[in-house]
This record gives sequence, structure tokens and C-alpha cells, in this order.
Amino acid sequence: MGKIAIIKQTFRELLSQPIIFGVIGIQVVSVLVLIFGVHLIYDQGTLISVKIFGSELEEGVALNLLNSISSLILFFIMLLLVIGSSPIFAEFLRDPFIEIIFTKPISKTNVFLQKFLGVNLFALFDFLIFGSLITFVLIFKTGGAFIINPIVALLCQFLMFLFMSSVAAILGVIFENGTVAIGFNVVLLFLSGYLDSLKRSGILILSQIPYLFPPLQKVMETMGDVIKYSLSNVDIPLIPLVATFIIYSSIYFIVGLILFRRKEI
Amino acid sequence: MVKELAIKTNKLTKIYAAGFKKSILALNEVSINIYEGEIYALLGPNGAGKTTLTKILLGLIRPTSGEAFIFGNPVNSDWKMRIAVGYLPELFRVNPKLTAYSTLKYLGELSGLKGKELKNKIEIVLSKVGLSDVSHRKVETFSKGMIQRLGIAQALLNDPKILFLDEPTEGLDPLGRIEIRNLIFELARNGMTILLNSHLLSEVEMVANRIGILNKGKLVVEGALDDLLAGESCDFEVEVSGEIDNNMGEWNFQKKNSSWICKVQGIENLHKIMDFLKNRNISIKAIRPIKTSLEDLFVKYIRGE
Repeated sequence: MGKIAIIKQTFRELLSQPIIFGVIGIQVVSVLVLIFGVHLIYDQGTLISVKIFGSELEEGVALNLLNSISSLILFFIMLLLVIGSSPIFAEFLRDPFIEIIFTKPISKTNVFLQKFLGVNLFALFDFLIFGSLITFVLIFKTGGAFIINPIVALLCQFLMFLFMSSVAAILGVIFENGTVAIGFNVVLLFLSGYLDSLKRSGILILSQIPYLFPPLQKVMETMGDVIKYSLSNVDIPLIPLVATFIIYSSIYFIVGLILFRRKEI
Repeated sequence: MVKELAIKTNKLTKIYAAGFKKSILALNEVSINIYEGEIYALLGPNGAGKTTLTKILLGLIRPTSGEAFIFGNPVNSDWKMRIAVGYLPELFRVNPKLTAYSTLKYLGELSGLKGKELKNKIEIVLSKVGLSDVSHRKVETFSKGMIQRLGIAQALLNDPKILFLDEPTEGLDPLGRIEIRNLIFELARNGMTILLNSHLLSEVEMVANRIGILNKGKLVVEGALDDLLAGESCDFEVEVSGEIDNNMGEWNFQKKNSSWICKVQGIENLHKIMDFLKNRNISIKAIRPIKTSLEDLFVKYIRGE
């Protein structure tokens, strides 16, 4: 019953947030800049230079610059999406409307699942649409020369989002405070690169903390590699990474679901 | 015809944790029986446990001990049972950006309704609460009373057998209250069981068949409203005709139009005054029991007066 009502409602809630408009705005501008501001110059099928807003740069310099800008844009998109979506669960539980939803003939599992799917499908669609647009533009500009699809980079980003939304769900259920969920995930996003160093801290409790999280640093590095080697034939192993993230996200999701089912309103 | 039990609770107790080694006893072994088609009003001061009891019956919270049944089925045993229940919370709030229609569509979909059936149901409930003309207006333009009516509409969407109404006339003007009162009567006439939480005792007195008064988590009295009020009525008004003098002893007569009226408390005093008037050859025109109001009853059980 009520198969996708909450998913649709979650989409509406996300789309009504100014911060999500910010994400979409950055993506639209990125695509427009790529279309009108970047020109790839080939000589006998080899990329020799890149014109960025009229300034011609040598191939290596230009690609490094574009890689850095791409990574920065992806990070900002991620940051804004995390800020925009993390409070969704907490707000859902704090809203007096939840009393009405819980008196309707729909199971708590279904409600939780739909809310979780709503947030993640929104992000997935967003990443896929953005990735597809970038891919089409690159196909047009390179004549199909690039090897690794930008969609893969965005799927790496989605893995990170999937995990963070599971964390946000648990924190939302426990604290019913959106700021806690935002704060935790933003700190996690910024400090993900340093988590592994805790393993070498020599303090037992601290050294175990990184195992609570999937390899966040690794996924960010992989995302960078996907962008960096997009014009090279380099094999980037993705399946173990995807599997690890799915396992971690599933565990967090199940814990969130158990807490949600026990929640009293 | 024996009516089916719609709601039954058996020694329902709820204790909330309130910090380290502290707890609040919100419900203390409450046992109530509500029959099909009844309008049952749950009364009590703030913090008496009315909302806790309602929330347990709706499956929103779990009791610490005791049992609750809806049509014989334990509450919380199966979420599908909620098809039989409609609920209007005390502070009904919705997304102000949605229209009345889209709010009902969303909640109707959650109730498993879809397509033409959902559309028809929405039209029926909107018409019942008098919001048909504004169905496509955003809720942010609604008055408090209109939002309350929308709340009742959503509670009726899945044709519930039991309707939980928490302060249903809150925010309504007198005409709106009459409309909602009539709607409650109509729903009960059609067999719906209604559990009403209200502070407006005069409203409750007009609609409820049976009441239960909760105080500090305990059910202090329960029964048919008429029986309870009649049982409490031991005051009388004695009206005499003709003139009376100043020497009326302990009895205080007041002039009302062409008659004199004295209020007496209890049967014993009634007999005493009757003897007194007989000895003075004053004829009694009428003796009327003074009906106790629900407010008197409420105050008596809450304050222990």
C-alpha cells in the first residue's frame, strides 16, 4: 500500500530546498562551461592543446587544470547534497504529520524504505543526468576518444552519498535533529582523508574508528583517477569498492530501520 | 442487539523514563470498553494521560504493561488493521505549500487508495467537511478552522470504523462547531465509533454517549453520560405559589416572576422543606431536580469535591 507516495513526497521536499537548487545550478553552469568555454584541439587524432575561454593551454597543463576544477565541482556538489539531504529523516520524524502517516495502513518498514529510497533515488537521478550530459558533451567534443565514462565518476560519488544517507538516517532517528546529521556528515566528508591515519594512532579505541566506515578516502581517490585517466586506457577496479560500500550502507540501513521501527511518536 | 466491542483496554499502564532513575506514570492500569457506534469522550486535565491512551490505541507508542484491543485484535499486531482507524491529532498541521486536494491525495495513497477510487473518496470527504470549493487552494491560504476540517477529511479518507478526534472543534467558529458536531452525529448514526478528546465540556455534553474521566493517569469514572449526570443530581428547586413572609427559617427563597423559588441540597433537605411548607400551609407549585452539568461532574472527580 502507498507504494511510492513517500518517495514522491521526498522528491518534492528536496526540490523545494534552495540548497538543492544550488546543486542543480552548479551542474547546469558546469555543462554550459564545458559546451561553450572549453575547446579541445586535435592534430591527427591526438589532443595537443585545450582552449579555455579563449586562452590556449598546452595539453598537460590544461588537463591538470580541468581535473582540479572537476574534482572541486564534484566535491561541492557532494557537500551541498549532503547538507540538503541529511536533515530529511530528522525533519520527517519531528514533523507532527508523522503521527498521521503512522496511523495509515502502511508498515514502518515501508515508510523508512520509501524515505531512504526517495533521498537516494533523487541523488542517483541527479548524478546520472549530470553524468550523462557531461558524457554527451565529451563524446561530441572528443569524437568518442575518452575511455572512462564520467558517469562512473559520478557513481563513485553516489556510493559515498549512499553511505552518508544511511548515517543521516540513523542520526535522524536517534537525535531527531537535522543539524546533528548535517554536522556529522560534513565533518566525515572533510576528514575522510585522515580516517586511515587513525589506524596508526597506537590508541586502541581510535585505531578501530576507521573500521566503522567504508574506505571513504579510497572512493575519493578512485573518483579522481576516473577523471584523471578519462582519456587513457587505465583499468580502475571498481567492483570491490562498490561491494564494500553496499555492505557498509546495508548494515547502517538495517540498524536505522531497527531503530525506526522501535521509535515511539 | 448486543453491540461489538470496538475498543477494549485491560490494565493499560505506561511509564515514561524521565532522566536518571526517574519515571513518569502516564497511565495507571486503565481499563475501558468502548462499543461500536458509540461517541465516547475522554476527559481530563492536561497531563491526565488522554493523549498517551489515544497514542497507545493508535499504535504510536507501546504500553509498559496491559493490553489494548481494536475489534478484538491486539493493537500493534498488524499494521493492516489501521485501515479501520482514522485520526485527527490535536495540532493538525500540513505542508502549507500543498493544496487540500494534493494533501488528501498523498494521505489517500498511503492508505492504499488510487486512481478513480481515490479521486471519488477525496471528493466525498471534502464535500462532507465543506471544503469542496477550495480543494485546489494551497493550505497556506486556509483559516485555522479550514485546516481543522481538512484534518477531519483526511481522517475519513479510508472509511474508518473508529475515528479518534483530538480537539476536533479547536479553532472553529460557532457555526463551524455546529457543522462538525452534526458531522460527528451523522458518522455515529452510520455506525462509526468515535473517541473524542476535548476540553470543551459543553461540546462533549452535547455529543457524547459515554465518557471516561482520567486524572493523573487513572480512570476515575466511566459510564453513560446521562446516568452519570442523573446520579449526581441531588439538588432541587422548590417553587411555591402565592406570597411568603420573612419568617422562612433556614430556607432562602428568591422571587422569580410571580413565584418564589428555593434551592435545596439533597433528599433529606427536600423532605424537610416539604414538611416546613406543609406546616405553614404554603402550597408547592413544582419541585424540579437541578441537572448537574458535565463541568460540575468533571470538577468533582478532578478536585475530589
